[in-house]
Amino acid sequence: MPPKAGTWRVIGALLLVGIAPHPAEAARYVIEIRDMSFGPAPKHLKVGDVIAWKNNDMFRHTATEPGIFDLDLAPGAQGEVTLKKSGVLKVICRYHPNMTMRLAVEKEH
Amino acid sequence: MLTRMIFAALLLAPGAALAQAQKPNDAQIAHIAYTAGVLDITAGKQALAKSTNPDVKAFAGEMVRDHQAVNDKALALVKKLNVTPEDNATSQALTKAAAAKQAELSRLSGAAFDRAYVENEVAYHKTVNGALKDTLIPNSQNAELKALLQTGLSLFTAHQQHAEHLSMSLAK
Repeated sequence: MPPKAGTWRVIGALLLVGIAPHPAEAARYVIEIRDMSFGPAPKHLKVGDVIAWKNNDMFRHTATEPGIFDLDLAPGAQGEVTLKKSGVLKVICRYHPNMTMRLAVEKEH
Repeated sequence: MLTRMIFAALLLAPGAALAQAQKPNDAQIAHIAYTAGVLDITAGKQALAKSTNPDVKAFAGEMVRDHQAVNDKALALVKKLNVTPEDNATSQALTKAAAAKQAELSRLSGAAFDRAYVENEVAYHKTVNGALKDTLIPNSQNAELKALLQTGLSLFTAHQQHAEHLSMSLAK
């Protein structure tokens, strides 16, 4: 017996969902600043992901990629950036130049 | 030569004074740590007023802001613990050495001031780091005080590195 019209519609809808391109799922990461250092860098970062820096230290810090972004974070403050390009970012604290971290960003999702 | 001798004397003087303080108690430790912060804040304010070098001013601003932040926490902690910081020979020796240095720096200006200020910051942070590591942290009894001193040590270490880096760039 051939399937009823309603069944075709359901199959059609399922196919449509399957064929439609998956929207890229941007991820969001939080990096904690504590005891005069940046927390560990998240792995497998991709363009479009969002990184938030949360300053849980008692000191004012920045998360800065010179010329790209500069988050000035009072104690307790949080700021975020969206990763715009692939490559290795070298992030520093402008106030404490010994605080550095590297973020390896891969191409888009 | 004279600068080198003064530098060496400053390095030794507070260190010797700190070594004299055998097993300070928590009230004395709190006083020493707080005093060390205040003295660096004073030095930073002097540099902010006298220097025109943007890197030196940024460094001095960092000293004032960071040490004020630790000292605010220290004040809150001693209040909570109901401890009255106790003046002692080490705090007095640090204060005396800092006053002499401040007077010396007040007679300098321009690049000479910048170099002398930053050189002294290297020496000062080295001395205080040594005291924190060898005397103050091991002898502190209260866990919260010990934790705050450890934060102070990470701060002083970072400042020392910044000062060393800055000192090298000023020497160029």
